[in-house]
Parts: sequence; structure tokens; C-alpha cells
Amino acid sequence: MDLKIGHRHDQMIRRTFRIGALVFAGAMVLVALAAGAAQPGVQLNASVPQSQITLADTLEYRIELTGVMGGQGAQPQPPDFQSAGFQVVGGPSVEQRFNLSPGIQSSSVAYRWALRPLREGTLEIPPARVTLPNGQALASNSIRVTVSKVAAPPPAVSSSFQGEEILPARTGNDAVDRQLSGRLFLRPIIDKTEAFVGEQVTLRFELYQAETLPVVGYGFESRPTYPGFLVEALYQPPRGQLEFQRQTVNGVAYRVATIEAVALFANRTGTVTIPAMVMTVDLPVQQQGRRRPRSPFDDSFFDDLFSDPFGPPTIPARVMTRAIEVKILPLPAENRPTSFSNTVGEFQITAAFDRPQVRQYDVVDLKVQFSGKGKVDAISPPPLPRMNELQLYKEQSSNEMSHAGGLVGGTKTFEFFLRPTVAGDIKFPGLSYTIFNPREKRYVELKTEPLALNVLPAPKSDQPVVISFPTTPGGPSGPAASPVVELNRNIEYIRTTGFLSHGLTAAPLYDSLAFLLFQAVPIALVAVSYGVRRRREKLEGDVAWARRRSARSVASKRLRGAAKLLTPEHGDRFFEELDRALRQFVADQLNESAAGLTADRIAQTLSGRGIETADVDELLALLELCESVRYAVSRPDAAEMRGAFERASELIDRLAKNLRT
Amino acid sequence: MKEKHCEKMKMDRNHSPTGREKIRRGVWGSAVAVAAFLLLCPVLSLAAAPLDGSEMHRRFADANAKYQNKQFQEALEEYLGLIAAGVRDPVLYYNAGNASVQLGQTGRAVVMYERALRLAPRDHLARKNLAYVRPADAGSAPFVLWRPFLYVRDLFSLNEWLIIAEVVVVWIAVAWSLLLLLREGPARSASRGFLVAGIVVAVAIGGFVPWRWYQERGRHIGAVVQKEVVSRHGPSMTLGEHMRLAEGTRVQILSREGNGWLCVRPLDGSGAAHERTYLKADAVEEV
Repeated sequence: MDLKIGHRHDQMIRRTFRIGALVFAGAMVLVALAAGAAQPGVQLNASVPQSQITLADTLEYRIELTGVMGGQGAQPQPPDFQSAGFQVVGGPSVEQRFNLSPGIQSSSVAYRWALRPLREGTLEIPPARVTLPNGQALASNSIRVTVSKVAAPPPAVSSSFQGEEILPARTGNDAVDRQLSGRLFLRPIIDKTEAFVGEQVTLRFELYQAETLPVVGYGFESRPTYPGFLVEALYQPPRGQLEFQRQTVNGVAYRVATIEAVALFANRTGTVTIPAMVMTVDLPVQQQGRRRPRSPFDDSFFDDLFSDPFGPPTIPARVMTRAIEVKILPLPAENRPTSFSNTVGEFQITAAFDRPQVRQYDVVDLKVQFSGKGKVDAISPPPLPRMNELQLYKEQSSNEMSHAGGLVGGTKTFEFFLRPTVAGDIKFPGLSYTIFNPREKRYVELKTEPLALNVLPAPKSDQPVVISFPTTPGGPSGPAASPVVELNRNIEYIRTTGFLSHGLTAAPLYDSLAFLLFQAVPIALVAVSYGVRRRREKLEGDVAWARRRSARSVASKRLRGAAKLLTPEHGDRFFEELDRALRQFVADQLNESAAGLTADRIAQTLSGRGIETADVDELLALLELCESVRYAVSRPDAAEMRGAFERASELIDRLAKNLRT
Repeated sequence: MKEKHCEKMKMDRNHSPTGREKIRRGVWGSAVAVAAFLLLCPVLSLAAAPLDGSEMHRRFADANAKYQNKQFQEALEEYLGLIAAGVRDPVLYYNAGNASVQLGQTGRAVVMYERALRLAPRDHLARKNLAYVRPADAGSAPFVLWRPFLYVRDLFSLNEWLIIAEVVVVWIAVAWSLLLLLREGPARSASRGFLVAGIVVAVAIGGFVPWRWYQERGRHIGAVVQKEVVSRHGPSMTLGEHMRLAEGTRVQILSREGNGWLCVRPLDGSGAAHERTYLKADAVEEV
């Protein structure tokens, strides 16, 4: 009874599932039909946020493909912006939306370009076009935009940076520009606008953005070049990532990042203009209907950065500086010494030999070091006094730059390798080097102390045999010094003999058929070995099988032995061998002892194995013949022996074949 | 006597070969086939030689003479001509690299030395010259414990690694076969040790073959062949500047954009520079 109830219960559940599945399928069909009935047509619309702009503005051009899902996959062709009088400065960026509400399956794909007008007047952007996957061609509306001349520069940011010309950010939308005023700007900081040739001018660009201003990304429209200057980079954002620090100015909290800091050293006089830096800062744009109340501006334009799962649409704001003019003064002509070295900066000088005593014709290293502030790598070598006692063999220089405190400086070391040609005490006069100190605005003569060098006579003759050089700069010197100095590094010489490839081609071996075929060799080796082993194991483990396998070869061996006795004088031995061959063959095939095989046993067993009676009779007749001839008085003739041999051979072949099958 | 011989012949004809005979014949046949195959390989490779040997050496000597006469452009063209004719030899790449250096084309020199080192990784001259022409800040030294593995990997070319692997495979096959064929005894113990040693060697070197393959063939490496190339954030000149790459900087080519741009990742320089960036295709030559 319980079983019956359980069975019915199962049937009810199964039936309920079936009905549910049918209802669900029907509902899906209805939804699909309803969706098909409610499909609106695919539309292509073009739009711009404002129809009046200036030449300095950037226009956002947007085309949107809306409609049923079928519109997907179509790629709109934008109009020819160039002929319409616009230059593409960004885009296209793609934004896709889906509406999968029951009955309203639609999607929209929006493409946006950032355009800059190339001329003033009323410009018309022709329609964009698209061909749908079903072959239908659509065109958008055309757009008219009035472009006027660049408006008067907006008022500078009124802030605590009075006296500085700081330009506000521009987006092309006046309302937004007003919102951004004082909240986003680029500030150039230059330490002086008048400097001498070769004097350091430090320039830094800082980006200020109000803490409440959400920013998506940064980019450069143009970075200043520095014609007329030698440039030394003081700061670059690590990995291109801006490093912001919090700073409060007049009660407004800013995030401030240094964009670039450089030390400039003018190499020509006159007024030098440093071009403006222009950055684009991407600001998030609020999408209609998705506005969230916590916009930083409490304005419909901006919205939270994370409000859109497909990424927020942005509007680029241009922040820029004005071009900066720097007046470069020539070095004063009055009181300019004739020995002036053209070096500008604040430096000290030292000089010393690497060892106080040297052997005649050996080389001694005179190190002259400049240290201080200024462009050290531009320091020219100091002139050495003419001395017959010391020959200049070679000179080299190295420098170490530092940017401590934003001031370029460091040390530059000149090394003069001198070879004394006479023995005795040599007085090396002090060096004199004149530089221009821009801070004191006067020429300064740097001097070193005179140096003494004791030169020992050459060991054997006046002419040097082996010249001992000091090691490379910074290395050990004195007795442990290396005997060889590298004069000039260069590449190793070409190879002039032979090739190296030794038959190996550049193509990988696995592309060669021969190499691939060779892979079969080790596999075949192991496979053959495995087969041999298996066979050996079977031979050793199954005696009957082993005897059967070897029966034919053993019989052949005996037949070969009998063939050697195929003459009438060996008749008895021949038939004895023939008898053994036949008996042993049958015994091996039946896995029995040859000695115990009687005629009856042979007939019975072979008949049981399906051997034809004629063959059995033939075998028994041959065995009987062998028996009778062995004990006969007369010798068998050759024909009889040959006939018996042939019969035995053929019989063994037949039996082997039949017993195998 | 003649009759006896005829009978013997007849008897042999009547007897089909036994299983053992078949095996013996099969083994001999296989051995002959393998020997013929091994003999044929060098013959085939010789047959595939692109140029006549004397012609090849004459042109090589001509190119060297031009280099010695400081006709570097002509020498470079001669070396490249030989390479284009199918002579893929590290010496040619090395000499072409030297000629490129003399012409001030350090980017192309880097490409040539890299090609030479792919074929002859132990060529210390090519390695030295490559170090000479590469940009000064061409990457930091790898972690100290990692260096032995890199050293071993770069000790052999891919083809040499393949031959080594093949030798080890044959070694294992022979040892395995002996283990299968020999009966218990000292010889079988020795073959067992032989097999274990082969497996150990195979495990030890097994990783280097795919690693070397990845280095040589698995990724596309190129070098900047123009002076001071500025990369972009995307495949267009309208996009922002990204990096400045010195000539000779090695890059990994990640993809080829359809419009003549390459998406690359610099391999030289500090860690910060190892981001993907975009370069015009003509600024990079693939190794």
C-alpha cells in the first residue's frame, strides 16, 4: 500500500514538472513575440552639447545608434570631419547600453569624438552613416555649429597667487568653466626671469586641483621645449604617475602635483621664450537619468566616478600656462680676464698627483677636481703649464652630477696622465682657472697650490722598456698598478675566417622531417626490446608452446642432418635420423616424450587434432619404413632414400601448417 | 655431389624461415635502415646548402676586405646579401653587426648581435660587442640565485638543446632496452643505474628546452633602430607621448596593429619602463 502511494506521489511530481516546463516555454514564446511586436526601428542620431563655440574650444560630437538588438554589430561611418572644418583630437570612445526588460530588448551604442574647429564661421558636420547587418542603410542628422574667434582671455584665477598669470581650465562649456574657475589650473614657477648665460634658471610646473574635484585621467597636449637652453631634468613623475600632496591656499584644499621640474642653462643671449604647457584633464560627465545626489558640484553635469559600470564618460578640460619669457644677459665684458674659461657657476678647484714619487718614464696621474654649483659637465679642462720635464700622455674626465636642493652641481674630475722624462725633483706650478660667479656677478680666479714630484732614475737605460701606467680612475695605484691602460673602448674586430655553424642551420630542428622521423628510433628500440622480452618469458613459462614453436626448426635441423647421410652406404643412419626427425616433430607438437610415442598413440592424438587420415597414414608408413630399413639385411637404394626424404619433408610441412591452424 | 647440392637447395627452398630467422632479418633490416638514414641526414643537409661553398667564401672574403678598407656600407650590404642568399651563420650576423656599429646604426647592430647569439650563444665576442652598443641603462642584473639557471639556458642554442634532449632520450631508450633484455646480474644492475641516471639528467635539463624555445621562438623580440623614438599610449600619432626609447633598446613585440603600429613592451631600462606602449613599425626591427 505504501509502495503504491509513493509511486503515485512520484507521478504527480513528474506531471507538475512537465506542466511547469510547458508553461515556462509558453511564457518565453509569448515574451519573444511581444518583444518582436514592440521592436522599435533602429535610429542613428548625431548631437553636440553646444552649437556655438570659439576657435579655442573643443567640441564633443556624439552619434548614437539605438534600437533593437539587431542593430548590434553595425559600425557607423563618421562624417568627414576634416572637410567639415574640424580636426579630430580624441576618440572615438564607445559606450554601449543594453535594455533587457521583458518586451523591450534594445541596445544603444554611442560613439564620441573630440573635435577642434579649424576655421570660424558656420560649419556643418554632414550626417554619419551606418549599414545594418540586414542591409538597411541609415543616416544621422547633420549638425550646424557656429564658430567664433577666440574670446578675450578669461580673467586670471583670483587667488593667493597674485602677480602670477594663471589661466583657468577650459572645457568649451561656459557653465562648467565657471565651476572649474579656481579649482583646476596649472601653475608655472620660475625662480628668475633674468639670468646670465650659463646661469641656472629653475622652472617647475604644478597642477592644482581642488580636493572635491573628481578627475579620471591626465594627458599632455603639448609640453614645452626649451630652445636656447641646456636642460637638466630635476624631477619627472615616477612611472608617469602624478604624485599629489595636499595643500591649502586661502582656505581652499588642493591636491598639488609637480608635473615637471627642470634646470635651464641658457646658451645664447637675448629674450628666450619658453612655450606654454597644455594638459588635458578628463573630468567625469554625469549621464542623464543616472544622476546621484552626491555630485561634487551638486550640478547635473558631474557625477560620481563609479556611477557607471561601463566606465564614466568624460569631458576633457584643458589647463595651460602662458608662454614664459626669460631675459638672458651676456657675461659682463668689463674686467673679463683673458684666461676666462667660459665656465659659469660657483666652483672650487683642487689638484694632486696620485703618488709623490714615480720612476722616470713611468706615468703619473694628475687629478684636477672641480666641485660646486653649476653645470659641471660643461666645465672645460684647465690648461696645463708647458713643462719639458713632463710629457702629457693622455687626459680623460668624469663627472658626478647632483641636484641637491634643486640646484645642479657636483664634481668634475680631469685626469692628466703625465710621463716624467727627467729624474729628480720636479716642481709643478699651481693651476689657474677663471670662472664667472653669477651670484656675485663677477669673474673669479681659482688657483691650486704648487705640487712636488720626486722622479727616480730609470732602472737600466734612458729609454723606457716597459712603461708602467696607473690603473683606470678609482682603481689601485702605485706598485700594484696595472701595466696596461685602455686608451679607447671599441668593439671587437670582425671574424675573417670560417663559419661557425658547423652544419647546424638557423631553422629549428623540429621543422626538419629527418629530426621528426628520428623520434621513432628510441620508441622502436624500446618496443622491440619489450616484444623480445615478452616472447622470451612466454617461451620460458609455457613449455608446450615453446616446444610447438620450436618443433619446425628442430625437425628442419634433423632433416638437414639426414640430408648429409643421403647415400646408400649410410642408409641405416639416414633412416634413423629421419625417424628421429618425424618422431621428435610429432612429440614437440603434442608436448609428449618422443620415446613413449607408439603408432596408436600418434594416430589417436593427430586424428584428435584434426589431421587428415591420409597424412596420419603417411606418417605411420614412413615411421614403419624407417623401422624396417634399419633392421633389414639389404641396403636401401638411393632412390628409395630420396623418396623417403622428400615425403618426410613434405609431410612435416603439411603437419606444421595444419597443426598451426 | 652435384645431385646432393641440388637436393640441399630444394630442401632449403621447401623450408620457410623460422620465427627466429625472421627476427634476425628484421633486426638487420632495421639496423641497415637506421644507418642509411643517419648517413642520409648530412647528405640532405648538404643538398640544402643555399650557395656553392667556394662562392660563399669568396663573397665573405670580399665583404671582410671591404670592412678592412673602411667601406663599411659596402661590407654591410655584402654580409646582408649573403644572409639573404640563405647563409644563416653567426659569423655573418656578427660581422654585419660590426659594420652597423661603424656606420652608427647601433639599433641594427643590436639586432645583428642578437641574431648571432641565437645561433652561437657562447660567442663571447658577439656578447661583448652587444654590451658595448646597448644603451647604458639596459636593465638591472637578475637576482643572484637566478643567474646560474640563466647561464645554463643561454649556454646552448635551441637546436643544441634539442640535440642534447635527443641524446638523453636515446640514452634512456637504450638503458630501458637493456633492462628489458638482460637477465638478472651485474649487467642488468648497471643498465638500471644507467636508466636512473638518464632520467635524472632528463629531469634536470627538461625545463631548459621549452625555456630556451620561449626565449628564441616563443616571443617576438626586436630592437629600436631609429634615434630617440617616442612611443605613444595607443596606435596613433594623435595620442599622448608615452616613452622615449633610445636606439638599440630591445622590445618585446606583443602584437601588430593593422595600421602600421606595433604594441611593444621595452625589455631594457628600469622596471618602470616595462609597460606596454605603441611604436611605429618602421622604428623596430625584429630579431
